[in-house]
Amino acid sequence: MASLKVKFLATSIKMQMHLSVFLPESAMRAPEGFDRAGLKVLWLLHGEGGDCSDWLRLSMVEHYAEAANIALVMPNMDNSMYMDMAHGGYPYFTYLTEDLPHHIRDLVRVLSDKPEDNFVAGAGVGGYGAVKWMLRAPGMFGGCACFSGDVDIVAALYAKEAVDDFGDDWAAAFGSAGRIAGTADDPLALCRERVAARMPLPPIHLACGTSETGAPRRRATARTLADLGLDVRYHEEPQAQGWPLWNARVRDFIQTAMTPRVPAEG
Amino acid sequence: MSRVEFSYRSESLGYRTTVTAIVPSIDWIEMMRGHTAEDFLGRRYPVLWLLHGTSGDNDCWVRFTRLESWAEQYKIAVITPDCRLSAFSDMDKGPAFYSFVADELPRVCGAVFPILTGRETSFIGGLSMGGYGALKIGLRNPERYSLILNLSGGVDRVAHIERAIAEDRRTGLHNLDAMRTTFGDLSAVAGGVHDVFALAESLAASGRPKPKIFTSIGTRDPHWDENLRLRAHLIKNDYDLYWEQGPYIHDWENWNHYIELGLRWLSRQSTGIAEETTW
Repeated sequence: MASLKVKFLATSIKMQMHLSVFLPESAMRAPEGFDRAGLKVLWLLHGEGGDCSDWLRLSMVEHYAEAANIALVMPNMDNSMYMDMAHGGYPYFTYLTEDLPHHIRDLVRVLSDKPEDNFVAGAGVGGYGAVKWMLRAPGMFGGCACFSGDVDIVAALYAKEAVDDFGDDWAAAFGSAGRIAGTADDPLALCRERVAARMPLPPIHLACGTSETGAPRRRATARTLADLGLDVRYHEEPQAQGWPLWNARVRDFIQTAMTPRVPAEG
Repeated sequence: MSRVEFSYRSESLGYRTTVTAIVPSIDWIEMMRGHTAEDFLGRRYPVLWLLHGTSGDNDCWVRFTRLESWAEQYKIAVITPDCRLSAFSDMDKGPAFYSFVADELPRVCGAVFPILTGRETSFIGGLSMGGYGALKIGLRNPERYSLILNLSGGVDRVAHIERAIAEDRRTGLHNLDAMRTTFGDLSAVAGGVHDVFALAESLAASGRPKPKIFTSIGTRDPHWDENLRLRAHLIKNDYDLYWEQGPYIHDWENWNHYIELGLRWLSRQSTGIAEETTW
């Protein structure tokens, strides 16, 4: 199994961008021309204050990915909050959704580009990024997961504004809660549009710890999405939060959503 | 351009090793001139397997030279493995570094990265111990590599061994025990698979295709004499040679200068590189 640290010039954002890639052992034995027939991919996103090494250092995801024979792509998104940023105009989300998949599939030639083989997940604001990406890129993913993040980002931003916790990094990314509501950066609004247009949506996996500050809001969001008729799998964990929770959830996501077991005969 | 540092458990080495790869795509100048990333998608690139010297690792070429810029400019992928002090040998007692570079890495990287692994677009090069390694691997696999870069190579291993024996060298780099661990019976090196002079001669006699060989050497480089001897030997055996010399010692000033000339030479020799970039 291979761990790759990649740096490249991304033309959308005009910066050298960094990412980590994990490839299972089978990729090392891939015959020439294995190419696009290749591996299932989990695009795995870090939270606020993190970088592309978080998932590898703080969880056991590499171990679960090897066991399931899937690849991981973990981009470094700085504190962009998965936004084309309100201030400064830095198009991080455009980089994530356009530059990155093209470049990395061209560079690492064993990644499947079929929607049923691609999944996206993230922790914290990375979970917001994951759900938004799946909604904004119909036909790219077979499912997404948001761990301790807010699909209802507008409610989360209003809550931050209410307690005067809207730090510079959040302001730089979002501007304000009112600026985001109902736009393409509001996943809840995107969900409503998709439902109204009768466009099918792959399953959305949500998880949060009962003791998280945002737990009541996230529980309510899960209910709202289910009421819309979406395929929502909500897990609330009373025992753990943070990396212990995300580690358990990413294992579950890989084992159940990405590589469902065929029931044994008899 | 992508700079990739990857690690995986190598079969030949039996441990987890780290490899650096430079893979061209759009670069900064091209972006500023209005090219788009899409212009470069789907391309595959010729590949240079580039070996470090004594005391080196996978990283030193990119740390101590401007290799990355020139690889981008000449649109050649460059892959630099870490082969410790092995002289790029399947060691008598130890890991199979020769097989790692000659067989395993091309298979692994050929499947994963957008590189062209055919003979006309595969080159092998190195500095000092790596220059020797490049000649040894290139001359033993002439159907796999069309061009060889020898930068200040320690090319005459037989002479090195004779000198260590004469000095009764018991400690330090290239001591007799270390040499036996690498090559086995030291009296069997001359004429065998570790002897570049013998490999050059037997390849010429075999009628198989001969790689073209680029050599650069500093006139104040301690490997000057043996490279002159190798040049005479290669001329006698009818090799196609390119020679560069300059007032250099055995250091990174030297290799930083000549690796650019080496890459330019590769790009001009290779029929696999269709497009000339204007700068």
